[in-house]
Amino acid sequence: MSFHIRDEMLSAYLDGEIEPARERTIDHHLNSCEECRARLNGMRGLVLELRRAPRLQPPPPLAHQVRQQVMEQAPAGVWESLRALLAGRPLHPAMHSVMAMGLALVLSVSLVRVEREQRLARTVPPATPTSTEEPVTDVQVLLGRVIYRQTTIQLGDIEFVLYDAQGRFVQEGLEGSEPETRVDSRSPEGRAVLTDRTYLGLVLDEGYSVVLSSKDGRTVEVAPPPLRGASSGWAGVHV
Amino acid sequence: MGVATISTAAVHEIALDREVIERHRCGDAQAFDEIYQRFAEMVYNLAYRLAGSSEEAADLTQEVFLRVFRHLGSFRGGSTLKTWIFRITINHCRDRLSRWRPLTQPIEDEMVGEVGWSLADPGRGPEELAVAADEGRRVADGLTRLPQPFREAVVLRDIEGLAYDEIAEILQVRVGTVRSRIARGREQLRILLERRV
Repeated sequence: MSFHIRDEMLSAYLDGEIEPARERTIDHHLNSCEECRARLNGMRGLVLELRRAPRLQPPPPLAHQVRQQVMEQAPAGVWESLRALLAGRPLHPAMHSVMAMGLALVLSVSLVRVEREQRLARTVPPATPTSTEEPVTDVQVLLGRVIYRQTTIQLGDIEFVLYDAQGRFVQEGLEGSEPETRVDSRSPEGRAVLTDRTYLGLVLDEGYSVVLSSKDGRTVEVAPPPLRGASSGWAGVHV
Repeated sequence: MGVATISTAAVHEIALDREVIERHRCGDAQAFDEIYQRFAEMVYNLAYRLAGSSEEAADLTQEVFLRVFRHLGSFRGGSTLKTWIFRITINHCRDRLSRWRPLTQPIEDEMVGEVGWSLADPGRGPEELAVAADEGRRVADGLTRLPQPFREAVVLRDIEGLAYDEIAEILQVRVGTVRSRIARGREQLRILLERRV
């Protein structure tokens, strides 16, 4: 064969990124040129190897870090809107929903607390460990979002680890670890443990479930709250 | 007269983009979360292939999403969200990596590390994962040795599976340039990998 196909053409041919007329010419040439066929096969092997390279998952804590940074940036708009509101200036339409979310959130937190107290009064079984005061200072409320900062939680004498199957709340050093057992929050055991911990809903976000697992094997999986389109953007755990 | 065509998938993607951007503009805080969930893996893998280190890829991913958050309100929809985020990632990686270190450093030996969440495909068996990890290391190492323009083009085409016109839009170059960079990148990579066998 007196001529060969340039690398650039062969590469585009392999990718199907070439005009039909030129493609036919290359087809024809490849039928009779062993050298170009070998080059094409070599190129194909390389591309296959590249495509087989494993995809990686972002580290689970990254989502949490991104969210925190984003929240740190967001309040300026809220304060600006509050100032506008106080000054009697018209509010940007987008901020109405943010304000509504904030109000709904405050109401939600209050309701959950009241509900918790009522439940404690009437339903906590004697065997269920009672909790200490809620660590309210660990809860950050910004723009209608609540993030529960700690990754472990004490229920009576048992320390549970907050473990999110999707990777949002994982204790450092326990990434990727699977709880030994899981108890659905609808089960009697799950209900008993969660009865006095309704504020665990604060750690939940749309579509994510949280698993609490203790070192002695007790594990409770908290079902995701009801969500998409929820007016408050957040809802408590219903046990 | 030529007829412009657009696939059903592309129409769906554009509709999805519009909906989530609109919600973000209206103050729906969940919208940005959804964008993160949709594109985090894509951004992280691209950053990893360009940087060659999972630690740097994590930093870059975080910074990219902050940029996305800052500028999402002014996104005009001239491209898909995916293309736009890819472009931000490429530009940010160029900017950061040129400051951090020379662009042709060898990759760290940690493709499948001590952490269980590294691989995106937990369905594969241990042997298969080990083989994939070996191949992955070899390929990732080779990619980091490519000159940056070739590396970007090869990664976008062969790892991310983008079409030439999408790559041209992301890199802001002509399709002919994309074709040339991919071909030259592949040829250089082939030589590099052969030397290391």
